[in-house]
Amino acid sequence: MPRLEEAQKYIELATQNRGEAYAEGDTVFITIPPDRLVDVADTIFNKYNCSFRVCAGVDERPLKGHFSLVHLFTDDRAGCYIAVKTYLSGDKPVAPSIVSVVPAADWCEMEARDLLGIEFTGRETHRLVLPPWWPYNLYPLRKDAPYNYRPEPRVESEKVGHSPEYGVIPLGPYHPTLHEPEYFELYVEGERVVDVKYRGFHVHRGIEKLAESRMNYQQVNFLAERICGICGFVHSTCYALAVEKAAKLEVPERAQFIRSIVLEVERIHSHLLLLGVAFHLLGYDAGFMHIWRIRERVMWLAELLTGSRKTYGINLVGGVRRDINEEKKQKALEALRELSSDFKSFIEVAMSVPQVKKRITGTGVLPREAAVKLSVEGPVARASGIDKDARRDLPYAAYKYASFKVPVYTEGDNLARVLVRVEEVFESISIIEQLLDKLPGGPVLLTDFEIPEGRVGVQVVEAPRGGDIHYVITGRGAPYRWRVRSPTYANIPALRVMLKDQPLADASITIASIDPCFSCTDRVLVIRDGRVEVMRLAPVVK
Amino acid sequence: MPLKPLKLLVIAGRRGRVTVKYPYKEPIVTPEFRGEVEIDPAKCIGCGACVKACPPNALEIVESEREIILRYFVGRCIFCWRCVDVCPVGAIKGTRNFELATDKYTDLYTLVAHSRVTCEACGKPVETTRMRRYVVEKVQVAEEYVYLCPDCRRRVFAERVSARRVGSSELEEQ
Amino acid sequence: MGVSHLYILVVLVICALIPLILDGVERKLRAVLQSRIGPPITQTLYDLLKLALVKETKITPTTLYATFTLVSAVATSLASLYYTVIYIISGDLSSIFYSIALLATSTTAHTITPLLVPNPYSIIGGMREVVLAIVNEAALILSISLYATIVERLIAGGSSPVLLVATTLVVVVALISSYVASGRVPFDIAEAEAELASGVLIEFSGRVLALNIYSLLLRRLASKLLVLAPTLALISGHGASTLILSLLALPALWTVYATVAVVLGRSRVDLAPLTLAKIYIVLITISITVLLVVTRA
Repeated sequence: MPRLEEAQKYIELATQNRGEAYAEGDTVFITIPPDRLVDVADTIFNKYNCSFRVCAGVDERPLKGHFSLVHLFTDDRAGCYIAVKTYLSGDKPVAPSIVSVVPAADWCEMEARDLLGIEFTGRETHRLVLPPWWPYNLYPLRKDAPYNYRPEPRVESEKVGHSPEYGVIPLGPYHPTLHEPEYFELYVEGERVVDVKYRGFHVHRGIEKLAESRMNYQQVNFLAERICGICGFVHSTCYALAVEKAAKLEVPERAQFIRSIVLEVERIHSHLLLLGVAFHLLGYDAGFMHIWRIRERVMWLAELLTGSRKTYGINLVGGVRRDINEEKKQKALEALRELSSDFKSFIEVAMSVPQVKKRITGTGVLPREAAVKLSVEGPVARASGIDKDARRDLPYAAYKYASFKVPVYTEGDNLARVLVRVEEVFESISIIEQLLDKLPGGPVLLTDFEIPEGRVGVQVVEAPRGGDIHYVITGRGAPYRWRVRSPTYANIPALRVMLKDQPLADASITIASIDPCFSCTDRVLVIRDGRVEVMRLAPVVK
Repeated sequence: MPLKPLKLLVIAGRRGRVTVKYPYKEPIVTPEFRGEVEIDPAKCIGCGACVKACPPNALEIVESEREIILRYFVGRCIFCWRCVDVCPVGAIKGTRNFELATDKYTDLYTLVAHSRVTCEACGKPVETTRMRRYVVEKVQVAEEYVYLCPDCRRRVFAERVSARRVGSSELEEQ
Repeated sequence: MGVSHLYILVVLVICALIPLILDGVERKLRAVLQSRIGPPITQTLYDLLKLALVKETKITPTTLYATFTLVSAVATSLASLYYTVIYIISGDLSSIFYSIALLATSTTAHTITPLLVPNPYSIIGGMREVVLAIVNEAALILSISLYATIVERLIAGGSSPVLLVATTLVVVVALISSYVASGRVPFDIAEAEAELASGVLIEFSGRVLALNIYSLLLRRLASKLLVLAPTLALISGHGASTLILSLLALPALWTVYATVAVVLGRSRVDLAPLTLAKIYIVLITISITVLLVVTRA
């Protein structure tokens, strides 16, 4: 709960700007007219130092007759969410862009433009998310666009970009380094990277539209889990928590504890995966194999606790479907003890390999000011000196019952990001042990409840890669609007800063060090056979 | 110290080889593991609760004049076992099978066919025979309505209500 | 020395085939150190046979030139092996110099090959290999030459502690440079799969890829045998028995190199050559100075 005076200042900010505001739970809902949007965003982001999370466009024409645009901030010091909403009228809505004061809003505004047709003034825009052959007046997330209409794709041949002064190295869309298709075009001078262009959104799957059109509340949990292969449980928990917040459900404590425990299990598994991949990219394959051998134990533990090695499928709106009995608890504690000592002894050996140390020290540096301006998330932010962790700042599920340290480093290079994750593994093991110890009794699932229409829920959950945010407006039987923004979405624009002036050999490890999860990032649209032209990243940070 | 990387040999020696020569040896599967589901045709009543709960539409109801078929397509199943949770008669059971690859795609479909009852008034096919028997056994039902289809029920109910009322003024109010 | 040509031919055939098995042993050892079962020892043989006989070979405009350079590399490696065998049996110093020269030619041919391929990854990988080779080949040539010369001196009679010190330094340089020449981690920056999507090997497929890999393995054998030859000559003189001992010591050296490759990570093109250059310059200068002092004395 935010302290009353903290929430008060946002409410005052709203009334000063000809708007209205009210606080409910830990969220402050502000509604202001469009012409005041830039000033309010500027105050919240730059003066009050909040984090910008995402903006969501909503087609509210069936309900209220106009579009709306919501910008979601979080005040990490005070522990509250701030939802800034404006109403945009007409069938061709126009909104002022806040990119000049909040550089982190770059991508989400372009996404709102692509998918809902909201034009933004005061910035240059281009197609970010849709392929070039998509018809120009078809906006998929509008309520009158059918979810199963598939326009004919037009296949175009594509060439690698050309530059008169520099060599061009294409990294992707298929490359042994990358686990998902994405395209980085590196401009190199000899072996030094001078510039990078990024194009992503190859794996859109139409998840937001699907949830609104043909699913019901409980089915969306399983859909959310498949947004990402590595952090799926984070998405399904975040969705469930957002809906429960919107509907004001009293979820049993035991369910929240189990959710937190499984979230931490997922965090350990994800960090071990990344460390293994990082070692592989550095050529140290023994590190890769051994870390993944250690990770195998975590997968076994997850299967014991939830029934599946990865897509756990235990979350429902109202609680969880599996319980942890005494026998499982003992087995879990034993597995964690083994894991902890195994990992500790191995990581000391791995970090002492001279090549590993030399190559990740001092490379891929992200300075603190750039990190703040771009509102980066998770270990990327913590390695650049920003002390931000949603488990501690905006406590959810059962985290308020566990005490843990948030590791923060200031160098901002690849080594710092790796060390943050190594420490987080140990912290996670400690959290799980504390929570297993304090597990309360009671039911694990709330069965008798109703979800009213027209309510709003915003929830941030700290995924292994950073803060994942879900914004839900409830409808009848299914969400009316569901906006997901995963942490990699905020971290990729920072790559342009990190890859500048780096040796080419370290491009792979730098890209991998933000632990990119491109399936999380692209989740909005069905693309059959897409080819997209090369895009320019907006000059966000010089 | 410069020899620390060599400690890898010690660690590898202590841990031994952890990979398993699957499929010639058994894989490591915990008792909790969720595999495919099995539908018991003797118990299934064809109510469609599992179809409503299934997130990827692996379970579907296929209707024709004479029968209602519950079709389970393993290719789409995500092994979440929501169907197991919601089945009112416990006809769906989870198993631990996950080795489901086959070269005949018809192996991936399980069909459970149910006969349908018809409406006594208009003759349209309604629900399955077993579903009706289940409802009749579980709940107190009004005999006049249970053998009709939903449209006929509405019609008969409205007629009865209007027949009970005396006077046209109240009828116009409705 | 009374050894028939047939005998030498048999030895050469063994040398041509044994790298495939030894590479299989290396992969098995890597698997054991990584806690897994790994492929069988004959896997490399199977791989090359499959590549050569079953897989498609994509012909690009420069495939012909690349095949020429690769065949030259294989031929000169085999010739180098022949002369090393002659040296082991007869102790003729000029043989070892021919052998070194032929191996250097083989390395040059193999290093040029990726530069003929018009693919950015291949060119970058090729340039990295060139930078590394410039530093390493010089050290390899110098160290083996010096080593052979010193060993002949020691065999002829007259050892002194100073000479042995010089010998040790030269042996260290020989071992390091033959390790670097084998293109193993930390010096496999040319092929860097994670960074360059297979770098130098990217445009090769089918039979040409099989040839490329075989050429690499054969050069590994040749450089190791060059280091073993003077060592075993020192221990047991020259003759047929020394040849057999060399062939037996070969797997042992190969295993040591393989273990080093598993415990280290990949270096970078700006770090590795500089570090190596520093080490080589220091060690070789000291050993040459010592030798000059000894010969003057």
